[in-house]
Order: sequence, then C-alpha cells, then structure tokens
Amino acid sequence: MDAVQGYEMSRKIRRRHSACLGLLLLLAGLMLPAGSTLAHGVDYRIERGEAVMVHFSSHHDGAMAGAGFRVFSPDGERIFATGNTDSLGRAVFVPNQPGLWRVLMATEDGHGAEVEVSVEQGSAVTALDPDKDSTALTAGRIPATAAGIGYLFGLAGLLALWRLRR
Amino acid sequence: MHIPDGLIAPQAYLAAAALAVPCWAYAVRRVANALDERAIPRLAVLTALAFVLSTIMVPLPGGTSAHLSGMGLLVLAFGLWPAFLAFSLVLALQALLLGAGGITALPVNALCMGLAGGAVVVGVRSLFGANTSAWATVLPVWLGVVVAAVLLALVLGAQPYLASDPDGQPQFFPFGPAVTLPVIVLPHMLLGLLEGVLTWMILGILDSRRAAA
Repeated sequence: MDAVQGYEMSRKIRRRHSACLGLLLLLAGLMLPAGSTLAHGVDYRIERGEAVMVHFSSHHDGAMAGAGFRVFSPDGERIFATGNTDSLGRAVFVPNQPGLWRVLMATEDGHGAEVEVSVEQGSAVTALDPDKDSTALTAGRIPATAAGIGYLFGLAGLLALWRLRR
Repeated sequence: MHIPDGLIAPQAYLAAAALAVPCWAYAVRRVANALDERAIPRLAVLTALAFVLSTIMVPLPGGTSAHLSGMGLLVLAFGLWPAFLAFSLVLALQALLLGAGGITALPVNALCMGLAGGAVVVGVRSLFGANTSAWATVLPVWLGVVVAAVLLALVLGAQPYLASDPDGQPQFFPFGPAVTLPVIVLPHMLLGLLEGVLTWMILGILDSRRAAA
C-alpha cells in the first residue's frame, strides 16, 4: 500500500514539474518574438524644465480645484493635454513649441474660462503682463459694481436728455 | 447662469449675434418711443438693481451656487423690449467690469435670458389677467428663469457636436446635454422660485410707492 501511495505521489510531483516547465517554456516563447510583452514595466525619467501654470479661481468660491481643463497647441487642431486642476486651482502643462497656446477650463454647470498663453522660442512663457494675463479685478468687486451703477444712471441721464431735446 | 467667453464655438455665437443685433435695434426704437421722462429714471434704478442682484451668489443644495438675474423684475415693470435692452446692458457691464459672462457670449446670453426668458414671463403673466396674487408674479418669473436655463444648457450641450478636433475631442465646451440639462436646470428651478418671490416683493413695494405718490 505504501509503495502504491509513494508511486502515485511521485507521479503527481513529476506531472506538476512538467506543467511548471511547460508554462515557463510557453512564457519564454511568448517573450521572444514580442518585445512589447515587456511593456508592463513602466520606465520613467525625471526632467527639470519650465512649465506653464494657470491659476483658476472663482469670485465667490476661491480656487477652482478639480476642474477639467484641456490644452490646445498653437496649431489649434489637436488637444495637447487634458487634466484636472490641482487643489489650488492650478492647471499645469509643459509646451513643446513656441506659439499661442490655448487653455480651456470648463465645469459641468457652464462655468469656465479660455486663456491664451504666448510661448517664445527657448522659453516656456513670455514675460507676463499683469493687465493682459490676469482677469483678477484690480479695483475690487464693490468699486466695479458701483462703477456699473454709475454707468447705468449716466446712460439713463443721457437718454432723458435726448428725450427732452426731441 | 450666463455663459462665459471661450466655451461656445464661433458658429454658435456668430449666429446668435446675427439674430440679436436686429432685436437690439428694434428694442432701442421701442424704448426711445415708448418711455417717457418719468419712466426713464425708474428704468435706470431697476436696471441698476438687476445689476446688483446679478452680483449676489446664492448657495444651493448640492454644493453648487447660482446668481439672481433681475430679468423677471425688469420684464414685469417695463415690458419685454425695454427689459431685453436693459438686461443686455446688465450683461455687458457684468462682462466688462466684473469678468462674469463674456462679450462673444453676450448675444447668446441676452437672447436666452433676456428675450426668450422674458417672453415666457410676459406670456405666462398674461394668462393671469388682472389677477394680482403672488402666484401671478412668482410663477411667470419662475418659468422664465427655468426656460432660460434650459436654453442655455442646450446651447452649451450642443458645443461638443459643433466643433471637435480630428480625434473627435470637443474644442469648446466639452459636456453634452445629458450633463448640462440636469446640472444647470435643477439648481435654477430653486433659484427661479427665489427670484419670483423677490420680484413679487419688489413690485409690491413699487406699487405701494406709486399709490402713495
């Protein structure tokens, strides 16, 4: 009985070894013709360079974190990069050619902004012009609202004067 | 509620401009002929009020927020065409002074909110006849806000189909109507109610002042 059991056991072990060997040979065979089998190994390289960083913020809610953005290269046809703003509301990309780049940020509820970034040869961005490269209100919201009310009253005054002259 | 610059394709905003310019010209003629010297200061004050209201953000359930427009107030106080013109002015000032909305998107916003939304307010209000109850103000304004939101959501939702790159990726606003309709319209169903109640209160104050004068 022990001899039979020992025979069966050794047969099972031999069969398992053969299966393992067969599997290894199969994998080795698959790897030989196709180098892409190794593609699951992800390579990386750390580079240092200049990036363009666009801050998006809402007048009421502050930094617009997690908003989807897309970057269009100067040819304007294809999307160069897509992503979501980070927790500080920043969209970051690294341009690979000079020209006028377009960054479009949009949220599902219809808020968003289009930003044009000018990139010169050999540098990530041109010198920033605070008047042109930011939509932040320099005067503040309350003075801007007061100015709007003033414009409306002024226009009404002009309309009233025009009516009186008729 | 209004759309900012850069989110809609040129073919959409150019078509809207072609439609809006004759409407503005007609509205200017109507305002110049219809408003007298007593109405002009009232129009100025209520337009300024609409401008201020549009700067106030109302937090809504679900973490979103929206702002009042004052469109229903202008329509019920002065009629469709003066209100359309005044509201267009409010939108232009918002874009130029506050960076809210946009100049290229102005015709779309004015047509959807000022003209279509305003026409709904006028139409629904006329169904109530001489009824001066709160519902005769709140319901038309609510429906006007909701219809304007639906139209803006449809305009935004159409953008992925109007302009895309060779890979089929949208070049302007990327979300379709299945996303924009619920996300934009549902909050405005609540906001429209608030705007309707506020309009009813302000018109009540104006009427009592007029009766006392």
